[in-house]
Amino acid sequence: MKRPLVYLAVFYCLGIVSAEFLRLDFRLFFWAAVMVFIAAALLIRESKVFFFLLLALSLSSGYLNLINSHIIPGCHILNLLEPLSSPGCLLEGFVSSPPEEMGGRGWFVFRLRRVRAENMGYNCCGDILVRMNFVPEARYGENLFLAGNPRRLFNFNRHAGGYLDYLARQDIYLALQVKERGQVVRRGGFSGSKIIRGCLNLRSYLERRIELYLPGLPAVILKAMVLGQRRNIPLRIKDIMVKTGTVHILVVSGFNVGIMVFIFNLLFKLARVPRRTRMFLISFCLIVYCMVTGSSDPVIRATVMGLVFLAAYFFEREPDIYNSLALAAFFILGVNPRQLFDAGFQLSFASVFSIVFLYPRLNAFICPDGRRVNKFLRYLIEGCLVSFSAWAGTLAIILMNFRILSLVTVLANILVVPLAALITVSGFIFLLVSLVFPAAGHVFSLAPALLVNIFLNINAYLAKLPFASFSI
Amino acid sequence: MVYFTSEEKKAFLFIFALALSGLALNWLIKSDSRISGVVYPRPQLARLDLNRATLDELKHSRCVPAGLSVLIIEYRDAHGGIRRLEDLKEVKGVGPRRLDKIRERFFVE
Repeated sequence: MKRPLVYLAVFYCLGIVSAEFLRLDFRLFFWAAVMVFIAAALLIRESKVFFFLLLALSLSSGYLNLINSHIIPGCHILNLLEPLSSPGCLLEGFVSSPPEEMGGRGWFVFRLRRVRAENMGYNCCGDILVRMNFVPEARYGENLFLAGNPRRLFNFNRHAGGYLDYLARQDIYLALQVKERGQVVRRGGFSGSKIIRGCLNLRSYLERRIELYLPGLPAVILKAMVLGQRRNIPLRIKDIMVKTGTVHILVVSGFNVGIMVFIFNLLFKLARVPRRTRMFLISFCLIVYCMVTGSSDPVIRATVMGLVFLAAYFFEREPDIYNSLALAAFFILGVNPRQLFDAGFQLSFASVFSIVFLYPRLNAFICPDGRRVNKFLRYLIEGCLVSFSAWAGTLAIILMNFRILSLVTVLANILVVPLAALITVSGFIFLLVSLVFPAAGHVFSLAPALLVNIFLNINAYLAKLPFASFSI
Repeated sequence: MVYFTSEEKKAFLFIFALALSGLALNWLIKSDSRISGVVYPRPQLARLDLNRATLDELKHSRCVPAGLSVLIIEYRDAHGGIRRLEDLKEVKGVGPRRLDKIRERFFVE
C-alpha cells in the first residue's frame, strides 16, 4: 500500500466537514467511534474490513475533533460578560502573539489568566484581541495588566467568511480597545514558550540587519519574503500583486523553505558534515525557520513535508509527496480542525496538490519523451505548465473567497517566480554573511535590493496591461 | 486495495486509540472547567485578631508604639486572652484615642 495516509486524510477532512453541518452530540459519536475501534481490533486479520473500519475511525476522529473544538470551556472569559462590563475592569495575562503594527496602530492577542472587577478576581482562560491606538511596546510572552472593558465581536456567520470568522477559528471572540498608554501596566516577567520567544528575538535581530543595509521599500519586501514579516507593505504594492496573482511571493511558504533547505544543505556539504548528521542539522534549521517566520499554515505544511523527505533520505526509503502532504494536513488539522475552512490553508494545499497532480500529466501530454525540444523552450514550457497547474488548482478558491480573476497570472509567475527565487537566495546569503561578517553585509545587500526593484517594476507593468484582472 | 502489515495495523490502532482518548479527556476537561473566584477584601476591612497577633504585628500596625505592644502582650498573657477591646483601658498608655486607633486595626472574638 503506497498512500494510506491520503485515504485517511480525505476521510478525516470529510469527518470535519460533516461535523460542521450535522452537529450531533459528542458523547453519542464518541461511543460509536469506540465501537468501531473495538470492531477494528477484533477484525484485525480481515484486511478489507479492517481498512474500511480504519477509514470510519479517521472520519470519526475528524468529526469529534471539530465538535470538541467548538466547545467553549467553562472557565472561558465569555462566561464572565457581566463583570467585564463593570467600570475599572482589570485584565491579567500575557501577550500570546507577536505584536503587529501598521499605520501607527498596533494589535496583539492577549491570553487571560485573571479578571479583576470590583472586589472580585476571577481565574479564567481565553484569548482576546487587543487593539491599540499607538505602536505597542510589548513583546511576546510579556506579563501585563490591561485596564478596560473588552467587547464582544459581532456578526459571526460561519458560512460568510471574513476577518471575524478568521478570529473565531483562533477562539478569539472579544476585543479590547486601548486608547492610552496608561491602560497598559507591565507586571514583570514573561510567560509563554521560551523557544518561541527566542525565535522571535532572532527574527527582530535579522529584521534590524535588513533595515540597516537596505533602503525603505526593498527592506520591507525582503523582510516579507525571507522572514514572513509583512508589516508596512504599502497597500498599493499588495493591490498590484493581487491583480497579477503574485501575492503568494510575499508569503513565506514551501518555496522559501525549499530554498532554505537547499542553502543549508550546500553549506553543510561544503563543511564536509556527514550525511546523516547533515539531515539532523537541516531538520533542526527547518524547525527553527518555521518558528522564526511565525508558523503560518503554508510554512508548517512545507516544514512537515520537508521533515518527511529528510527522514526518508535518513532511513534510505523512497519519499512520497502525496503521503507527506497528507501527513502535513493531519498535523495542522489535528491541532485546529477549523483551519480546513480557512482560505490560506485551502490555497496552500490546493496549489501543491494541483502542481503535483496536474503538472506531470500536462507535461507528458505537451512534451512527450519522444519529442525533441530546445532546452530554453522546454524550460519555458515547464514554467508555464507549473504556473498553469497552480492557477487552475486554486482558481475556484480564489474566486469564492476574493472574487477576483487574474488572467495575467501565468505570464506574471513565469517572470516573477525565478526572480523571487533569486531574491530569496540572495536575501538568505546576505543575512548569513551579515551575521558572521557584519562589515561585508553592505556588499551582499546590493543584489537583493536591485532584484527587489526589478521585481516591483515588472509587477507594476504587468498590472497595467489591459484585461490583467477582473473583479467579480 | 490496501494491504497493511500486522505491525502497521497495530500502529494505526494505537494512534487512533491515543487520538480518541485524547479527544475524550479534552472534552471532559472543557466540560468540567469552571471559573473560580477570589475575593479581594477592601484594605480597611482587613483587621487582625488581637488574641492571636504577635509582637511584631502589633509593632508594625502603626497604631501601637513598641513599648505599649509589649505591655498589651503581657496583659493578654496574664489574663489568658482579651475578652473585649474595652479591657485594654486597664493597660497603662491606652487612652480613648489610642483605643479608637486599636479598634480600627484589631478585633477580638
